Amino acid sequence: MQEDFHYYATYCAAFLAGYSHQESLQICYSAQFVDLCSKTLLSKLGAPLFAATTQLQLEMMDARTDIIGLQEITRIWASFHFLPKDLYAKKEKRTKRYLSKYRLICGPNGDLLKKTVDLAKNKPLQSVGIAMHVLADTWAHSYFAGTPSLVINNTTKDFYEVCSGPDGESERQIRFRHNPSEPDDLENDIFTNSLYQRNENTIMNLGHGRAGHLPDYSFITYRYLPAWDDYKMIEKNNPSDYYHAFCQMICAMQYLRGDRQTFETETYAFETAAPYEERIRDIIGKRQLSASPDWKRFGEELSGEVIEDFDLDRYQEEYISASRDEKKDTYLGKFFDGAIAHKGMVCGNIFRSGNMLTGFVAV
Amino acid sequence: MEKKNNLDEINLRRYRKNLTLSGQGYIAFSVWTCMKLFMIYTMRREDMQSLIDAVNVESYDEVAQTFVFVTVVVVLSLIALTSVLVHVGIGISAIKYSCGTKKKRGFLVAAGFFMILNIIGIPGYFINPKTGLDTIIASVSVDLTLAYILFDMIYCTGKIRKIQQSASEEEQ
Repeated sequence: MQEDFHYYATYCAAFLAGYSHQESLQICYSAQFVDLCSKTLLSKLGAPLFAATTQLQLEMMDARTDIIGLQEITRIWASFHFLPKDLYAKKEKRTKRYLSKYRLICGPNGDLLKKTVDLAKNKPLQSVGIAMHVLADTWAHSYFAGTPSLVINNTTKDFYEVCSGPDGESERQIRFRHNPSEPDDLENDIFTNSLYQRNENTIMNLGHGRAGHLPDYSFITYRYLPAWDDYKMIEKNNPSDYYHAFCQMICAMQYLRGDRQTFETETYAFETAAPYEERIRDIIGKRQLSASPDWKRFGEELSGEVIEDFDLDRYQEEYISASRDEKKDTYLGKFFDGAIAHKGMVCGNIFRSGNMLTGFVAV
Repeated sequence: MEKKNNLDEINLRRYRKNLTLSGQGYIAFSVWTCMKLFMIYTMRREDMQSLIDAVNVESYDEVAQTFVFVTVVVVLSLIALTSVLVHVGIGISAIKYSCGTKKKRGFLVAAGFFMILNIIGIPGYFINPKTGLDTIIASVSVDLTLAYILFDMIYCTGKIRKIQQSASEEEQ
């Protein structure tokens, strides 16, 4: 997912869940900040490096892929962007090494999602934003794992966009290129993806790199052949998934606000979104590289307030100028605490499942 | 999606992938064959000399001797080239068949021929062995691998054909 959903759509969901305009802004800022809080930024701020929630492309180019490097990569990507669905998933005739990666495949409504939302209960709004980022990504990044792996994340030429028209359903071949400076060509179905590399652990095989940005576009429905599913094709219906993600975010935030007694997986606040369903589905289904203007307009109509654009520098000066003891009370200080707590929870669960891909994390 | 993931479709993808791999493997072996022949020609000089001697060159003048030598080298090179081209041809045909860009299955005849040739040649390593045990083990392993690749090629092509036939019958 991109800024359109993590920032603007999260704002809309927070407002619909009952948060005020200012609270919603803080939540959506935190949700979007997860995609930008790299070690490079943390070094600049003098913040704890363990709070990193993403890696920049330049950082990944330098990342080692020995076991220590892999654990560092997996801790970040599995915790914040590819939350594993089932840490105890079974598959016959597979080695432990294979299973340790197979069990990190991301998907919605897993046990870790409930733990993620529960962890944010009675915590600052920054933690709510982090949880919403993780929740939303479980839908967008389904079927990929937050660890470099050819045998899990690789894709083939069997990649088709499913188009619905008056004559029924049809398939269009999706083509990939490897030029990151070229924007995706939606008209001709040409997308940028990572290079094919035979090495199992190369960074090119991290997450949905081999599928390009397709999982990040809300409008697209596509079919492809994942490396892990024994030659079965998967259909990924993003318009449906994104709507579910939106309604689940509302549900989770209603619980975090205290408007619901519990948060259970497979529950969605469809009734809250119902008056706006057509509008939301229109935004989600519109074929465009970024839906930010549409979500922003919708959010401003909902609250009657202006939604400021995301500004990476907004809270940095506050954190830098705060004294050592006051840092934890700043906006970013609370975000870092939330990020460390979340990372510790996810990695601890992965470690306790007998999986060494995130190493031992004691938080 | 159910149609896309019925057993026939899944098996079709699996056999096609296997056939592609077999084709690629056989092409890779052509490089090995080429290297093997080059090593035989350049490093086993006694064998080469015996080939030239078989023509009884000692009674010829110098020009005729050179002609015989060049002819032997050219013939051996042509044999090597043909062998490599046949390997590559079979491999490419298998890959094309797996992609659906080739319908004819004539390459299977050559594949079957080479598979049988490989298998019946294996006992030869143990009858009057001229080399050490390690060389025999390496050679037998290579030949068995090659035979397996060819068997897989034939098997997968047959399976693909069978699935496609049953699919077209169902359509009719």
